[in-house]
Amino acid sequence: MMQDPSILLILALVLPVMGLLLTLVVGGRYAGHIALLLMLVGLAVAAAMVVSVVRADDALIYPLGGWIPPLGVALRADGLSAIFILTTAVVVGATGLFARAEFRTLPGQPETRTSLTFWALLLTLWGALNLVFLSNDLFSLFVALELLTFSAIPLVCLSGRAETLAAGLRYLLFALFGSVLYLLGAVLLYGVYGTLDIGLLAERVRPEPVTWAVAALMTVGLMAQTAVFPLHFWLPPAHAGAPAAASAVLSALVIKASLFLIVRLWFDVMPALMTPAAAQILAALGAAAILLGSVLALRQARLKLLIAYSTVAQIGYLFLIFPLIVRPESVAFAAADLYTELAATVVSTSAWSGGVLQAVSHAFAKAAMFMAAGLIAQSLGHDRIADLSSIGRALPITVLAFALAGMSLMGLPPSGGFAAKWLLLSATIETGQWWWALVILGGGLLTGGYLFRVLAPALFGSRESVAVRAPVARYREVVVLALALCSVLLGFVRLGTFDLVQIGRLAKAGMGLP
Amino acid sequence: MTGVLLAYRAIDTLLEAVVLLPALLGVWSLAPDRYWGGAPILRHSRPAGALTLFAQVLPPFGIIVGIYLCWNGADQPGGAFQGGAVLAAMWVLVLLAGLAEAPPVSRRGLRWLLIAGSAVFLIIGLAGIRLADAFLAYPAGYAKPFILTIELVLTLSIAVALGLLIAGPPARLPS
Amino acid sequence: MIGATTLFGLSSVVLIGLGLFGLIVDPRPLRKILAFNLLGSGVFLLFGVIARRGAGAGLNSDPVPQALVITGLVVAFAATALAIALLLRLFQETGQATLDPEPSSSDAPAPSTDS
Repeated sequence: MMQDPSILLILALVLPVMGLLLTLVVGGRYAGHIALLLMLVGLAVAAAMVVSVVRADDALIYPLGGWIPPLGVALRADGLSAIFILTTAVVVGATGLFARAEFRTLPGQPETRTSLTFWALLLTLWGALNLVFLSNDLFSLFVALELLTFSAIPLVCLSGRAETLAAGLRYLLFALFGSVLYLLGAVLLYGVYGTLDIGLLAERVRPEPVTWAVAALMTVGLMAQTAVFPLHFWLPPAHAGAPAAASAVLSALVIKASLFLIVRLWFDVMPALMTPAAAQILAALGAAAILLGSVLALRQARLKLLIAYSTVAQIGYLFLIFPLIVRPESVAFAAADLYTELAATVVSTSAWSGGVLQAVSHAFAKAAMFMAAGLIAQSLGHDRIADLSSIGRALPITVLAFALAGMSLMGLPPSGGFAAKWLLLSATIETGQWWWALVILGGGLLTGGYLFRVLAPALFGSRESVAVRAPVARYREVVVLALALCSVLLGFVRLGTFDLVQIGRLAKAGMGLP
Repeated sequence: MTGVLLAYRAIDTLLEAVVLLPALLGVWSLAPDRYWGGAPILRHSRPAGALTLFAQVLPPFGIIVGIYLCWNGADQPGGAFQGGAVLAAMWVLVLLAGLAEAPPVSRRGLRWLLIAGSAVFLIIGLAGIRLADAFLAYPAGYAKPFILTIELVLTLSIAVALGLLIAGPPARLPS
Repeated sequence: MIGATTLFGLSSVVLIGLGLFGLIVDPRPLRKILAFNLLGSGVFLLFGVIARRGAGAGLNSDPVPQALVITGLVVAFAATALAIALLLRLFQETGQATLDPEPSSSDAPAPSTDS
């Protein structure tokens, strides 16, 4: 049957919501089954969406209820959205497989707390992420961010230990602070330009004081949710305290959602405002995050905290793309021509591809690392780095997965992380901003340092084998390995594939409009 | 109002109904494991005097106001959320005065009531793909009855969800 | 004599300012939650003012902001309920309702841990 492929956008939203409603009435006994089934369908939908976007060579658009903006709300999937939707589907599906044994109600027993809430919240989180990637309306995006917060925070506190409750509360306060600033910005935009639709705003937004205020408010708000330096304090305890499966989606996906909106905001909603100074400030914060996060990761005594601080650092790389996409000299040149909006859309393709590749490969690698840490903690009963000696003998597949994921984080060839950092490095050279190249290289060395602290004793530790308390199911190790392999194999994907990122970019389409 | 909420920006209203569910699940998930399946406790420490009187006198009026707000939402200020909020307030009042107990969170009927609003909305929205060529569109001529159905069920679900959000996590052992 | 729109606009600015101040400066979580609500009210009021201004410009009072404020209220309510439940549980577990920097994590000296 030849259906309009834009129906896929609806499916990507409806599947998780349907799952949430179903799990609530069916209860914890079958929640896991329902979730896994829907995730499988969701994976197919995501793959079909990527294929459709590539085939159409343009964004898929679905006006909800048949109402065209500004009256109605539209969903829109460009190349960037499609890539993130697919990444989300893969990571969420892997997380579901990994968590299947952990969160279930045994036959004959009454429903347990986590067997219902984990699955219902994971499904909500998935739906919220899809909405963030697909919605083209600033207010729906606000609701999506809140939906994300409401599903992420209970996942952090799932164990009920006091320190995770404190971490969850701090996370919630940061998230609420961020979302209300975002909403204030959206309200001001509506007040000035009379629409919340990203496409229409892109045509109407002018560089004037109120727009600058909006840009500052929304960026700071979203940065609080992304945990970018200096708003990163909430992340490590929250991501380290959550159950391994939850940490994986939180670190791999949730923080990328607000980051995705920062990118949308600067490059799609208000490209005219993307001046070199703004870009340099954003990148400076990213650079600080890379260095500080890596140094703090080096000092951690517990494996999960180390991985969480590594997230703080890796997010920093994504902020380096701003000055690499906007070339200072071309902006200065074109400003003289009074075509500032045209100048801001000068695109360095390698920076775009590098940034997206970094986000995606980090998502796979970080999910694999958190799950690996979860398996190690389960089998040893602790995750103290000092006592991980020779764990490689007890859990060879898990440690191999951790090492492969680490390879991608460090940027060793051949891996997705290597290709990403290579593209970013070449973009710094192309645009003549060598100082960011130093940060990328320095961050890579530090990453190698903190991962070596874990891997060296784990692989080549003392002769006597560690005392394994609980066995680990083989299939869970395989899931972790598969995710790590995804992260590495991204390095073999033909780089041209990531031109997909450019499909349906608004800045391109909006160019030349007065 | 309803024109905007249930037609042009129906997605926001659907999401608004859905967003209450993870928030409620989040509140519930904060219960200690042994209480899962039990009922929340929401009761004033010394329910007496004015509170009890209010809880006995006010609800009949409140319920009428709530239904009126929901009904009225079709063409004047009001709607599912406003009606639901008033209904929830009445329920909370009765609970606080100790005249009724909150239901256990494992009760099947309660779960159905919670999801009914979003589910009906979602089903009608999906039916729109076939009947009116778009998700969340209403077939010509049937918009009014569909919107009214959604409003009514949504009011109930929102009232239950709001009340339970205030009642907090389960705090009794399941029976 | 200032018009109603200006008055409400100014009130919303005051609410937003107070809310931001409380949310950033006050270390106590309960105060932060209250401040968040104040801030939210300010934003919703501002949205109302914008709707009203649309009406003043000859349009039939802009219904979109009003519809969105309702959704915003629901979300803010749910967020507050979740935050309070979290705070209560934290109080039950630890006997205190504060967010001290955790001694277990080797955090860098964090001047604005609670902001």
